Amino acid sequence: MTVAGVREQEELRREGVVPVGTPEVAGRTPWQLFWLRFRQDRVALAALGFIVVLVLVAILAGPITRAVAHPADAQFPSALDQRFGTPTGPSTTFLFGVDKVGEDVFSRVLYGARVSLEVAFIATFLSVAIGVALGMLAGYYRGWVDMLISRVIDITLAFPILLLALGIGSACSLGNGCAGGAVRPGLPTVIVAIVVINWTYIGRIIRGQVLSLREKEFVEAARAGGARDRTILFRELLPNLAAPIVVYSTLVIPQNILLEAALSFLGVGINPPQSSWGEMIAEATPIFASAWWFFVFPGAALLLTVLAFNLLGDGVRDALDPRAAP
Amino acid sequence: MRISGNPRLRLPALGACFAALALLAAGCGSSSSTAGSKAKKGGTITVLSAGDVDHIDPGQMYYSFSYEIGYATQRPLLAYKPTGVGTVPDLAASAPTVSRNGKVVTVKLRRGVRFSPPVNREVTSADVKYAIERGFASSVANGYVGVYFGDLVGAPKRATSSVPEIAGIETPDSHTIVFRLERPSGVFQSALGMLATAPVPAEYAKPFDAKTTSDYGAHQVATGPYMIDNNRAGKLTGYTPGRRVVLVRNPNWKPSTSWRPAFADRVVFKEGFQDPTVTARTIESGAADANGDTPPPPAELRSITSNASEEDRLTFTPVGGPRYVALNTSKPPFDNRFVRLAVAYALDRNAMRLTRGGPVDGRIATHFIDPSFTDKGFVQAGGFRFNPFNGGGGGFSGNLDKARQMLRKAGFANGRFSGPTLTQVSDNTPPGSDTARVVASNLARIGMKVRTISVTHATMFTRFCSVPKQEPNICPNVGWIADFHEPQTQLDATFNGKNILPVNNSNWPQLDDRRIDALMDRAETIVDPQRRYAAWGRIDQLVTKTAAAIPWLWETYPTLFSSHVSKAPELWNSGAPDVTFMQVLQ
Repeated sequence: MTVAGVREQEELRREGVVPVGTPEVAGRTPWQLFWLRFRQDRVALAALGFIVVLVLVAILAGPITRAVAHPADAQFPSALDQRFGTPTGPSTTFLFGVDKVGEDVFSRVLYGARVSLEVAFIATFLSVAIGVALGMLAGYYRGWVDMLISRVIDITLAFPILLLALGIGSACSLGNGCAGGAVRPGLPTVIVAIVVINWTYIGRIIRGQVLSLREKEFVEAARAGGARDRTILFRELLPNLAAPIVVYSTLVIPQNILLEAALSFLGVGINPPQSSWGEMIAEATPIFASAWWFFVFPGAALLLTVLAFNLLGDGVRDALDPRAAP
Repeated sequence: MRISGNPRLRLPALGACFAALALLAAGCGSSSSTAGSKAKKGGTITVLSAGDVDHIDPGQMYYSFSYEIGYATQRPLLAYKPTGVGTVPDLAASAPTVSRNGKVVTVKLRRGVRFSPPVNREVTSADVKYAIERGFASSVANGYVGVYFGDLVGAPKRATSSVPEIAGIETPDSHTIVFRLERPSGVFQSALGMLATAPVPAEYAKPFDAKTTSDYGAHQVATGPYMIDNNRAGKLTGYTPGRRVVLVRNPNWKPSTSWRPAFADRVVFKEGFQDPTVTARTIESGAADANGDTPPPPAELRSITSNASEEDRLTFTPVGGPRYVALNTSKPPFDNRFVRLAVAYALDRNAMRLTRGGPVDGRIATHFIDPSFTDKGFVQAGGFRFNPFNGGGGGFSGNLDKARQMLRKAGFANGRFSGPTLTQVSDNTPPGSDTARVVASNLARIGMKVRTISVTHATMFTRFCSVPKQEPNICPNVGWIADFHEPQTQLDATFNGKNILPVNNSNWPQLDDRRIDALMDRAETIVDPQRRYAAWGRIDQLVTKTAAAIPWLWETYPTLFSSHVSKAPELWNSGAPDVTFMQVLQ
């Protein structure tokens, strides 16, 4: 069956005019329909492929660098210009050249992927989890619960994002970190800063969705059937929130990667010897004119990764939204 | 004086060119080559700097950049010519005479030196006496008078609420000043070149000094060829903190009383040039004439030296003090000398130097007294041959076998450190942050896990390295520049146990070795130069062997001049442009 055919059937089914005698219609879950649409989107598929490769590279960064490059934090002062200590460019030994202390830029870019993806997934998962949980509570219980949560969201959103993140980053990037050592400098600080800011967006969207869903008949039916709040929240409402959650998550991942890069660039995120693309770009900026490789490779990696996640997010949203143009 | 984040220092440094600097030899000893026959007066010189002066009051100035301004506007008893590292008489008419027992120093003042408006009168010995005395008052609180003038008979032991009268400074006539010391001092004469001896007219300055914090600086009068631009009442108009200092000619300065040519009519110090690349390119373009407190970065040096005509605009002068890694000896594991020695052998000092730019930045330090001191302690400490932590094969890349051997002696059976994670506090900007990365990576080779806390250069000292209670295990980015050309000023503040202070500490390793302390106390009172230098050379060796601090760079400082001006780097102040010797060529 063609795509157009599927879509037609879908619409007919939605309108309650289910054609008799077409067996394909019967067995399709919303996810199968999603996949049917998604796999037609070549660009999104390419982006997904790139991300899969990136994930593999990040997981296998150790073995890959050992096989074709150098361990991540091994320094090769002999690879620097011996008269001025300036970095040297790409060569057969150092594919992407070396940085200011003689570390292999190729290895650092690979390990940088690990940081970017950790931030992408952990920070996104945590902010979505918190946002969904609080958004559902606010929308479902309304009243003072909603009041409290919504005002917290309003206040958080009133802060300039980058300044708030910078503040958290600076407070936690010294010594033992902040909150009594619970938030260590480096990756945990970046993740906390991102989560503190980002849960509010998803929280607000989910609250709105729940406010409308809770009045729907199926919820009333469940309530009439004696279901408790917990059952209604998890069994009835949550499955119906899957689409906005998935769409929002894929769209927020690239934002989080960029925010991590920005924080590291500004010196309150990941610090050497750990490598992050943002941190590498910050180090490379002052010597860009004489050491382009130190800037271009992490910059290209960041660009491609964010682009891939954006394209994937667009594809997912289109595939989940039947009204969107193909 | 503490070494800065960027190599920016002052100190008397010898004019000798080092073999290792052959590449840059053109820059050595060619100062003020264009002065002389075609001497030309007039024009404006512009100097760029990142930071501001530490104080505008000459009686408080200590930071080397401030001395660029202080020496152009004030005349201390002794001063330095750009071509030399030794002091020569400036306000003094001739070299000081010292009594046989070393306790009485007499100086005759030059006649015809007058204060700038609104004071206008001739300088007398009482003005020099008052200048030194006010340094002891809490409203002025000069940072070094206690160290160098504290041996004067009757000198207060701590800051006093008003300007004290010091009996040990006598003024038998208007142009003679006599200093009486309680004990002989090896460095007192050299200290007469500090700006605290630049005359201050008591009748004019007293109302300012009587305030809780003196604001004489904002109303100062000058004796040098220039003065900071001011209005008729004497209030400065040419100083905007953090923005600029403008020098104009001092109408009361007589060329016949001074050896300073003072070619230019006007000198402008523009501040706030934080990016050294921008500074270097602004000078290359001719929009400014010299770098004041920030040297061109390595990448710029590389491009400048690849062009012969531009290379000629660069000078390299010894900074005169080492950079070193300080290990906190007050707590484990570095209270154990063998663990410290393991670090000394594990460090790749060549890699550390490359983080600052490699050989152009100076020779790798093997002990503390700088090579520019030559026979004033450097040779006595063993010169370049004294290198107790030699790397394998005579290099400087570390010697891991030796390091493991030391760890075994310290009780780590397999020659690998297995103690807890160590902490180091470093600059959060290059090149200091890069050096810290190299140190951490080097120490990982012997099993030491190092956690790095990165903060600003100032915070590194004020919150960590200079506060013994908060001091981390390792301070990798410290250094000390001698105040003047005496080894005591290199070693005493930094390694004498009696100089460990609860705050503002400069004995960063907290070294308190009773034998070394006793030798230092004795050496301070040796008046005979040869015996004194020998004593300090021996102390240098002993300090180095404790491995409480591991020196790694005897730095040289690059100064870039524009093609519009003649070069005149002050050798005593590590290449700071001496604006009184620079002339505008076009």
